[in-house]
Amino acid sequence: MAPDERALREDLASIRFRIGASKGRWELKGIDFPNALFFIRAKPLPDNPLGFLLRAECTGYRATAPTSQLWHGELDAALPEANRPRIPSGLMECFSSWGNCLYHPIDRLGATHWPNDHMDLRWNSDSDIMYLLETVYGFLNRSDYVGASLPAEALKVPDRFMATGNP
Amino acid sequence: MDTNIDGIKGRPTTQAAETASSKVAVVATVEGHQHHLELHATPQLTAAQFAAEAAEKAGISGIMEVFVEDTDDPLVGNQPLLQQLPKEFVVLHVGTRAAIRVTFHFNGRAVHHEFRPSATIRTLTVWAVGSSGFNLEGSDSDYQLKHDGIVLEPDLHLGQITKGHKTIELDLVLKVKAQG
Repeated sequence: MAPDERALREDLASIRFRIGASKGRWELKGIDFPNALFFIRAKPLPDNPLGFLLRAECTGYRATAPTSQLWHGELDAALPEANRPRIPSGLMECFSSWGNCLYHPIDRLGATHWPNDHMDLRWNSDSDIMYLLETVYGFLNRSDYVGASLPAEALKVPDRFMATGNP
Repeated sequence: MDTNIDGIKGRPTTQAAETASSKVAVVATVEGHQHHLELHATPQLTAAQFAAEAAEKAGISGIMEVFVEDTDDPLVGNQPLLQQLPKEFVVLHVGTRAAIRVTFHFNGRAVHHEFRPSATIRTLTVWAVGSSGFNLEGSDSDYQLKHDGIVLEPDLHLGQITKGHKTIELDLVLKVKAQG
């Protein structure tokens, strides 16, 4: 097993990951390395989704930051903009279609938009997958999150993530 | 890095399997210790014995008690640990009983409150943002706590960062929204 996949699987078996999972903040849905699929719980709102799938591409983990997108499970593709989390002014900025990534310094690709800013939000040598999951959980539980139009099939887990060998 | 202090690794032998099957993995933090520990408890192990084992593994001394995370009262020391735990997964805190006076700073203002060492940073954040604290707009997810400039993870226990001291000062800050 390559070092990056081994490191990811170790962290997904760690106590800190299990604590967040036991408290319902996130859940590992499967690994098709270098991709890992998670369910992240959103702020409970009437008639709104319980949460979203997040696909993290983890090549070079942990030295290299993952790049991630909210995911449509049935399409096995990035979640369409129309289904993404919203704030009163429209689409939540960190889930914009600026690129095929999170629009945020934590993201491997998203960070290139801020080459000299927000260094404290970036992935660093001490970061791990829980930092990413806690960050996205924070987005989906912000006070200005007002919900999303998410079809049920968007939360279906693609077959490729249902393989054996997941921690 | 997590520490599996007394884990039973690999496939156990018959005798070890009997022992292994009666042990339950319990996750705990220890006062002043940075990382979570996972220890194995038999049905007979008392809370006091568990506290002593955890403290020894973490290399700290003193009379310690066991708290369920975010609760005020310790478990009964001479009673079996596992019988006192709720059915759902919980994280325990092993530490001293005395409350910790926390002073929160935000935008030039300060408020303070006493918490048990088993209180999570998330609990502290909720209090600081709420009506008893600074009474701020938004929710706890909009804010984070810092100690000496370092962002504190929400699942940390207060006793882990105070290192035996009974007072601490924390900074409440708004989470930065990176804008384009």
